[in-house]
Amino acid sequence: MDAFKDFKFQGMSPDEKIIKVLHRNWFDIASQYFLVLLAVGVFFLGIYIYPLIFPQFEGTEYNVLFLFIQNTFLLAVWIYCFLIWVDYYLDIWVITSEKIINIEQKGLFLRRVSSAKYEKIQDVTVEVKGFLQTIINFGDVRVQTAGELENIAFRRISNPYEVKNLIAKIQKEKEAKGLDALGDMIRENAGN
Amino acid sequence: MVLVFQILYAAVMLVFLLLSAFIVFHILKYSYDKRAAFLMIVIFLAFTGLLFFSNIILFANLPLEEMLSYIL
Repeated sequence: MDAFKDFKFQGMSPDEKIIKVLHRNWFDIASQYFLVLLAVGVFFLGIYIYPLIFPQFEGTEYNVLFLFIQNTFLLAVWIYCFLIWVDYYLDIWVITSEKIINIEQKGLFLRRVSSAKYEKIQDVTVEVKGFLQTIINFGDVRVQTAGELENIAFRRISNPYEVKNLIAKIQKEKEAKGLDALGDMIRENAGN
Repeated sequence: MVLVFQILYAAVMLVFLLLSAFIVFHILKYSYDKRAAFLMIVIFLAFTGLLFFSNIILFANLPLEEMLSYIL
C-alpha cells in the first residue's frame, strides 16, 4: 500500500487506502505498437530502396522533399504512439480499502469514472478467453453491482484470478468488520 | 499555388499542435503519478519540439515553385 501513498484519485476519503492500481496487460499496448512499428519498418525500408528506384533524384534539391516527407511521417507516428500510450495509461482500475474505481479514457474527449463500494458488489466474474490470454494470463474481471449502479469491468488486466480473489477477500473483511461493529452495538445497547 | 500549399501545411501543423496540446493536457490533468507524468511530458515535448522545428525548416527549404511547375 505504501507504494501508492503519493497517488491521488478524485473522490477518495482521507482514511481510504489504495491497495492496487491496475492497467491493461502489456500485450494490449504491444499489439498496437507492433502495427505502428511495422509501418515504420516499411517506411525505413523505402528510404533504402528509393535511391535504387529514383537514382536521378540523388544529390538534387528533391532530397529535401524526401527528408520533409520522412520527417512529417515520423512526427505523425510519434504523436500517434503517444496517443496510444495516453489511452493505455489513463485507463485505470483502482482497488482501495473502501471501493473499486473504474477510470476509462475513451479517446481524447470522453472520460468515464465509476466506482462501487464493496457492500454493493454482488458478483465477480473472470473471463480469460483464447490461447494468448491463457498463456500470458490476462483477461476481464466483471463486477456486478446491486440495483441501478453500473457494472464495472476490468478489461484485459494481468492476473485476473488474483484480482478476483483480492476483491473477494476485501469484501469478506468488510463484512466481518460490519458484523463486529453490529455485535458491539447490540452488546452496548443490551448493557444499557 | 505556393500559397495554397503553405496554407495546407499550416493547417496540418495546427492539427499536430492541437493533438500535442491535448496529449500534454491529459497527462498533466489525469495522471495519478506526478513523477511519471513529468518524465513523460519532458520526453514527449523534447522529441516533438525537435521534429516540429526540423519539419518547419525542411518545408521552408522545399523548392515549391519548381516542384509545382514540374507537376503543373
